[in-house]
Amino acid sequence: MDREERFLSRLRERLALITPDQRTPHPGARPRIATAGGRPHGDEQPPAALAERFAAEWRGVGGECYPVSRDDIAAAIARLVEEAGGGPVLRSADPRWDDIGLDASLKEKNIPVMQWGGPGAEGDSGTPRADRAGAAAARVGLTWPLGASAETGTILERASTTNGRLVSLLPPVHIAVLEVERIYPHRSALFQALRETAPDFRGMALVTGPSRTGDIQNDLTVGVHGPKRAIVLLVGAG
Amino acid sequence: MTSAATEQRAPESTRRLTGRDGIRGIKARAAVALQDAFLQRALPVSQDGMRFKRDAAVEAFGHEHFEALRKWAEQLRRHTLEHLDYYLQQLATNVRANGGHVFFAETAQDAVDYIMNVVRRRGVKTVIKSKSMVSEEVLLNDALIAEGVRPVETDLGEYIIQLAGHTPSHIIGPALHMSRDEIADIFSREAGRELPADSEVLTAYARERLREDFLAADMGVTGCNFAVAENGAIAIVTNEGNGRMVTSLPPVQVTIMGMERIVPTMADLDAMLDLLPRSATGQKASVYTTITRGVRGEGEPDGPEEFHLVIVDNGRSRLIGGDFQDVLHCIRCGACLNACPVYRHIGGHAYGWVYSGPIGAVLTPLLKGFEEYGDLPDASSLCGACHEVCPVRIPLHDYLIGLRTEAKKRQEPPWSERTAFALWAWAMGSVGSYRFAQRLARWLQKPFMDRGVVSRGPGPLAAWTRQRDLPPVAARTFRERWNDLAREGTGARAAVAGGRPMTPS
Repeated sequence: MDREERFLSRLRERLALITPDQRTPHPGARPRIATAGGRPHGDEQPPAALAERFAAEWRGVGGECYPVSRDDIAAAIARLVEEAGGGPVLRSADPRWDDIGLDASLKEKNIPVMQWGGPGAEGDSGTPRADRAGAAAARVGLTWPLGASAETGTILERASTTNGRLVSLLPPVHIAVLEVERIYPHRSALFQALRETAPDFRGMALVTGPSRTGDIQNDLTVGVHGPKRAIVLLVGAG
Repeated sequence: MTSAATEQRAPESTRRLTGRDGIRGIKARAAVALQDAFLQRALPVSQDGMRFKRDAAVEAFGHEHFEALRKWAEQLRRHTLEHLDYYLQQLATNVRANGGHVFFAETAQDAVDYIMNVVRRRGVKTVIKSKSMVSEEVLLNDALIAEGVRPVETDLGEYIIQLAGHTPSHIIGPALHMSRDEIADIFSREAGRELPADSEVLTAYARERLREDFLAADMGVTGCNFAVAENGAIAIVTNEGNGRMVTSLPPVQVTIMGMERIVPTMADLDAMLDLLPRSATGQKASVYTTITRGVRGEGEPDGPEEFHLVIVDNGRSRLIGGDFQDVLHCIRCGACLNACPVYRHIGGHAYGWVYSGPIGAVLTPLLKGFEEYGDLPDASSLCGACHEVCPVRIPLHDYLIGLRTEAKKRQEPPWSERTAFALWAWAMGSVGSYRFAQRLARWLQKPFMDRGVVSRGPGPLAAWTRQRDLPPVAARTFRERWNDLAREGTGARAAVAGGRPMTPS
């Protein structure tokens, strides 16, 4: 008998002490009870209300949130990077950066930009690929989160060939471009959407604000290992 | 609030607990903790902070909703445990399908041996770790150091206590027994330059220092908040981001989990993620919930190339089907520590092992034996506050009583207790001996009386009378007075007849 079977058979010996009719069934779907506001934790809200709730929650945990129009994303990013003390910028390999002309806007301001991962040959767009040292030296990371939860002010960064894990993790400033139609009322709905669109993820992170700790005498300190500034640009918030 | 001047004048005890004290018995360890002036100042502050934040988070979520979710979670945890063989197999199958390896470790030693094999095969020099109570439990760091491998704890609290050579004193705040000044001293020694006792500066130093190790490490070791059976996912909850770093940077990831830390589905994980941060730190959501499934996907620029899941029994399976099964429901949030009036005074190290507070007082004797830890359940007021805040409703106070009984069953009572009960049995054995004992007690109590009450008890009774008085044996007992009344004849009968009947007519 191999180790795994031994382990499981010892476990089954113990489980045999509980007769099958005594075994507890799965409780089914989680309970959701309407709160004072009348809605069961954000269900059925119009997109504008979801965007508003998301922004309030995100700011509540120390994040920054700015509405931008689709045409203004690249310029807004360039402005924010400049204000934060410049690059280098590390961006994901998402094709939407090309759609909005990001790299050109950054280069216009002499902000160096690198791409993390992605398919195809290096330098298709004249933007260099970062190696690990380059990624570690970046001052700002740029991503397009897969979705968000309004209830807790959380964005979902799903790891993929075009969205590496380090982009939203290593640089001290993270800017996420979030389209309002990707905001779900709560994590349950977000997970449901994930199940429908990207069930085969290998890695993801639910991010709720900037990195923080209270480990030194309960002092709240921001920016331990992850970003110190977590900025969301809300696209289509009207 | 005491001023800085009085704080300086207050006599500071030089002796303090570190978790590696080698003091036997919780009473002896608690005695040291109670003399630790900093600990006595810090514990109530941090405990109140965490407790009030938790209560506010529950309030904001809605009490009714939270209660419904707790009941649901209790059933989910029980269901999962009672079908644990099924879910573990499903988990293992899915982790392997995602390119990971799964190892079932019966003992702590098995777990350590397996991990050390991976370390040797990969020629690992530096291991970065995100917080894992199980790795503390199996003493993984000691094994790594013995082989010349450098383990680096990356949770700020864990990093601090690693440098100090302490063990964690709280499940969520491992270094909450240490002051800012102490931490500044330790960091200054590490940095080779003077660092001020300023949390911002100290945290910035740790970020910079640990960043080098993150980038250089050959292996990452993580704990596991929840493993998801249906897709082989591992969820790690942190606020600092170290969980993300450890699962993103090194080429090899090892996750070590207690065999019970499993949920059936992602939907179940979603619900547990509403309970855990609120109970632990009073947050709606922790900053980072990292969910990984085996090795990095094809074409992904980062994530581990090699993944190992180590599932640890180490005494847990013995609890299934027994009287204390629900202790395995625990999700390690620390809420019971933050609610406990005993923890508030003695702190985590007095419990003598990795897990402290009410959950530690229950889990430690069950996993490590009554021989050394049978006295932990005595460290409780049985107020039930731990059960009230437990997100999965473990009946901790009932278990504490049950474990006291178990502990007593395993030991011969001391001679004083045997003698006391022998005398009691004799006194209660007949009317004559009972009356004699009463008269004797009336006479014996005299030297201990003060203003009509027993205020200075002898021997073990002193433990009671130090705090409060004991009523004396009556000068005349009810029976003696009754006899007097009976002798007075008709008067007594009339008094009885005039009273209300004692039985319904």
